[in-house]
Amino acid sequence: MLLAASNEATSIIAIAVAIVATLGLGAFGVRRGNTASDLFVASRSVTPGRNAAAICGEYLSAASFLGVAGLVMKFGVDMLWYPISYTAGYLLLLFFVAAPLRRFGAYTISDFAEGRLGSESARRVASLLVVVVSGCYLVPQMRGAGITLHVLTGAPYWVGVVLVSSTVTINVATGGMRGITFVQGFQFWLKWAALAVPALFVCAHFFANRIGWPTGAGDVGNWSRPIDSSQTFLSFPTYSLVSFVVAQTLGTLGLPHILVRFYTNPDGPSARRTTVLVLSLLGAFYIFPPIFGAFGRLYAPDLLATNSADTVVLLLPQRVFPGGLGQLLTAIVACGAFAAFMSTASGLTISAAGAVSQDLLSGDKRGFRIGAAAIGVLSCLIGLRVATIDINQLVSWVFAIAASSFTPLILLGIWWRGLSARGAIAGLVVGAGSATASVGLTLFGPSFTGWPHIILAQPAIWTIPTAFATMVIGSRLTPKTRPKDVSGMMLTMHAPEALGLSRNYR
Amino acid sequence: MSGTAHPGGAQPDDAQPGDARPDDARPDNARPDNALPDNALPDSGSAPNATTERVAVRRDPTIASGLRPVAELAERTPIGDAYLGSLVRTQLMLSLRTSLVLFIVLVSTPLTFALIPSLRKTSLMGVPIGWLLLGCVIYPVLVGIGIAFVRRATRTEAEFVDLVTDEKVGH
Repeated sequence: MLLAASNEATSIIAIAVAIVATLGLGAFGVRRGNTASDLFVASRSVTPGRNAAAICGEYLSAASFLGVAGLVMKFGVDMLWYPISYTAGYLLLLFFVAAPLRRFGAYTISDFAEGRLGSESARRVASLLVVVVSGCYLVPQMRGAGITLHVLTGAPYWVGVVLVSSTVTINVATGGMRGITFVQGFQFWLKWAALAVPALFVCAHFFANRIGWPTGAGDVGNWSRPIDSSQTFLSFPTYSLVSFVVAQTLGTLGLPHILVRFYTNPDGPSARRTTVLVLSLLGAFYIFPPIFGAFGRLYAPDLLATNSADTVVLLLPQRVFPGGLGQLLTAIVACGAFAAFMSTASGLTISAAGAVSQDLLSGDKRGFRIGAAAIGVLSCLIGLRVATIDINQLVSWVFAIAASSFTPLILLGIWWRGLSARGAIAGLVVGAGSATASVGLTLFGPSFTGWPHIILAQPAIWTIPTAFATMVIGSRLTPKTRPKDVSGMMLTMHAPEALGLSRNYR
Repeated sequence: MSGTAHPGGAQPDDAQPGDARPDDARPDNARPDNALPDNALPDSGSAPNATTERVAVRRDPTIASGLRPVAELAERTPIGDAYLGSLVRTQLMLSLRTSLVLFIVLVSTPLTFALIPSLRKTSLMGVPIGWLLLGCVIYPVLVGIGIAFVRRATRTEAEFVDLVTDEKVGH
């Protein structure tokens, strides 16, 4: 038991508020439209502002809400590259993907693969990968919920896992995307406020009492001083960091639950506006987690010893302000943490359920609901079994797999006429396969040390080029499996809407 | 352009791709303004005089072949593909250039700390510079890059629309 009893009560109330509000807003959203298309993409009637908040609500997961602060507390200023690369990924999305992908008009990555490549097999491979990526990404959310509830209330680990997965499944199965767009936007602002308010209190405390900046005494390396290029690239920490930044920025282009959001924009230009707004909202959010990490160093150094730095966001307010104020701030943070788990898990469930429903079941509303329930139960069962795996490690692997499969598919599909169905499938299989194998070896294989370990634990820097090369070479070798009418597709993706030249390829 | 003509009204019926001489339209240049150097078009951007434009348009050889650029695009003739190719290349180059800017911005912080080691120990109002730069200042910079990109991409598209629907003044 880590906190006093009265504090448990406030935290329970705060978490209950987050869950009830999520279900309530979802139910409110259901009252509008109810066709299968509504469920998937909200009939494309969402404004850029709402869509941007929804994207951020979906994107800012347990890793951002809890993990970044924990990493900063553990390893110091260099970990600020984590949120920077989480954000910079959206710039690449803006440059290369947002408008053309929206114009193509497909609902999901699977639709894009089928439409762009004219191949059923490409669709099935993509759908399988959507389920793998979404499923892997769901698990750390469940784990986050489990440990949060445990730390704040003393409840067993499984309670948080079951609570979040059932709430999310019910919400997705009944509300679909329309409800979810609404809920996700709300959850972004909830998360933002839940970090901003306590962080501002802590900052005020810092400046008012003229506390010195934490130094990271007793820790290896330069906790408070940034990495610089005088440290050679080939040293382990620098390689890991660079590989991580590459995986995050490129992986963002290939996250199925994020890309599905771009179809809810009415047209290409609004997809661009949405992305710029996303950048601003992410910047406004990521200012705060490092503050928790830095001051955790001063007020909660014991968390380092027990290897529970991930919980610093939840515990810091109570440490800095013992008593009523700390209790209130803890409740706010708890509410935001649950919003984080539920919103990311919702988006992932929608993507996975969409893939299951369209490629295994009837593709209608009923199939979508069955898919959502199946994914919910499955991820809950896996979530119960991963109580010991680190959140950020799991998340960075998901990004590496996405960056080595969907990212080359989408980039080459949008910008290169020469992509063929066989080449794309080969690239998806080789890229996702090599990234997954590296992760699997790190998790379950013999324990490597030194370079082999680093290269397997941070595979992105070699699996991404491998995937690109496989797609390009494979396409050159199999030009006959290029889709017909590539010109029409390029026209649809790149010609401005004003010309009225777009065609339907899905 | 006032957008009076609807490009959907293009008449692709008499489209004869064979008649169009590829030399007449070679929109390889990045800027659509320069895309039709052979056509003796006045600079449509700086000449709002409708009469001048109308005269110029009648001299347009693609019109002589009965095909407007937008129809070339819709029919996916070789010329249409060349127009589209130029747009795609322009946008791709813009994206790559802006990515380079992003890369330079990201690399510049560790580079600065390497070149001016004393900066790593400098603080502003009690907060070390490194934390301020990487934790705070970088985000408005990223948003700024995004806004600059959207402006250029939107302008490129507007210029492309102007280019391929240029003779709409003649309606």
